[in-house]
Amino acid sequence: MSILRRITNLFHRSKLDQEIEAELRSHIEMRRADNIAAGMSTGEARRDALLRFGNRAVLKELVTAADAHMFLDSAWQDLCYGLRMLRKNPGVTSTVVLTLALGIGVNTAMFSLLNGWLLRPLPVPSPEQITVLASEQKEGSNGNFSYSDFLDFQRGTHSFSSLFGYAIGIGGLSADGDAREIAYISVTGNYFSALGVKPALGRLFLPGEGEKPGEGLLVVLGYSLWQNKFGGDPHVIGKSVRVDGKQATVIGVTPREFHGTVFLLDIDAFLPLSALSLIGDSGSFWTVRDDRRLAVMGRLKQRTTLKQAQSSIDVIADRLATQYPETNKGVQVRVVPERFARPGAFVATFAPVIASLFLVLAGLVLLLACTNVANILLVRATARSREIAIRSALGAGRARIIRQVVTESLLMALLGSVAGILLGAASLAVSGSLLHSVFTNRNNRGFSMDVSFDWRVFAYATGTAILAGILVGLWPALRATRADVNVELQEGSRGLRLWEESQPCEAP
Amino acid sequence: MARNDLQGSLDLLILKTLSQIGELHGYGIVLHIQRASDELLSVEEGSLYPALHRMEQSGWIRSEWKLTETTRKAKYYRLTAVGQKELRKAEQSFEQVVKGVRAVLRYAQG
Repeated sequence: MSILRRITNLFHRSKLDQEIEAELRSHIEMRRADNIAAGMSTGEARRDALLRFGNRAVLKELVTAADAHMFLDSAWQDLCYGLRMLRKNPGVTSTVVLTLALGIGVNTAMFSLLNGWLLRPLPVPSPEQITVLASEQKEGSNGNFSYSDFLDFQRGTHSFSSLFGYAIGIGGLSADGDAREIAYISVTGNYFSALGVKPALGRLFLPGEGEKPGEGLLVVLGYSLWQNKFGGDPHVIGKSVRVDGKQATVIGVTPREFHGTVFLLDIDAFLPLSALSLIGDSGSFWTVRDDRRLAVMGRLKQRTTLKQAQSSIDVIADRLATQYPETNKGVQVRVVPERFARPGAFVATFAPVIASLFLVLAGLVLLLACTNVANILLVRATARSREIAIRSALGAGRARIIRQVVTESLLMALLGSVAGILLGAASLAVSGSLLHSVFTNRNNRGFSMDVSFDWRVFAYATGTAILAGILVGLWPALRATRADVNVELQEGSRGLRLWEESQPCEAP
Repeated sequence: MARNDLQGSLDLLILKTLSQIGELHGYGIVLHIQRASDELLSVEEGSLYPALHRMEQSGWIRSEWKLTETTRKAKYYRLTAVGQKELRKAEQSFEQVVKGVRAVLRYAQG
């Protein structure tokens, strides 16, 4: 019982408590007053009044339990009755469920897209600490850093536990006489350790590794490339492959859920930074300050705010601007949470706006659906007004009847949300494969945005369903229960006498 | 078999009291039962209120906050139509219990 009570108490504990308390207090007061009238002293009167109650806390618990038990009992009644009503009116039920399913489905699909875009964190430990650093010049910039600038920021700031970077490249990978185009990133040695990514197989790069031009080429395979090209072979470690014609050794595989840090792109392979000078043109990357190719990210130290990080970065940017005016004058660096920097830090200001705009649009669709459903239910509530009148004549309070009607609409909304989630999943599967074919070229380069349903999506869908259920149920319920019982019953005429007979008896 | 536990007879007493008086608060119910039974029965506060709340949740009685004659706030209970039916049932079942108990007693006395 105590568990049940606690569940229901979540909803209305304090109100119930106060009421019981007030009721018991009024009883004690009346007893005390009578005791005094009967000639007891004030103290005696009070003691006697209290004694009769025994332990007041225990009594209160007992009374509360009686209420709570019945609350759940009647909730169960409502549920059974509601299910019966739904089965009795399959036409209304299916119309309402389908309409709500459409509304909720649209919302769910939209939300899971936004979830994949803005909400779902990187699959790394403490993803909220990961930030993107965007370098901004006066005339158009891609947000990237030169390696020398990156080193200066890395040395100069204490707000980050580490700064790390990568450069995107497209190249050919050949092994076992088969070549394919891959998307790779050349990463700083601390890339994996800073993110906290653990290998699925072999090892990943170590801090400092591969950051000197001319080192031998090592490669870490992405999970899907490992699966697709090497068939998930565990003996791939130590294997020799060719990346853009250069010989490279496989040292490890990243875990399945990690797709790299480039939005929408499933990274096939990770190379050390030294690959830039092996494969690409130049030695300029290592020394020239306006050769900006490195995308930079940072993991904030614990308890460091974005603001603190930003100001420490600002100081260094200013120093570099005076030190190297010809390359760094007017260069500003913005620190943005990773989630708001998809696909780039430049969206950080308007991404949430776009996201909420889409949600509002989807919400309007749901509102439309709700209005339609509420109309249907209103018509039905009018048809049911007699049933409602009888129930209130039998002693059901208004709240009780409203609860019954809302339970029914909630049931329909939940059914609708199940159908809606299925619908949303189906529409995502379709749009996902469309997106996939847009983003995936002939060479099968991976596209990755995880729009699959996680707890956020389910919470959202359930939340919308409950909201919709209450919305569409409450209005008709309020309208229907406002009607006068007597008028309703007289209009119904035939059963009237029956109810008159059961007027309260007079005292014998 | 009639329901013959203590709770059943307490319910009966409360329902009957409300049907006789019409509308009454918990304290009034205690006083009425005491008086009407010539001080033979005394309802314990500790079981009265849980019973009242249980019956209200079952829809047998209905409550309302009102002022007493001495302008004190109190929660008044009154019978519903469902409660009327329950009262009739409880009365019948009580009669049977009394009959049954009496029969057993007579048998024992020979």
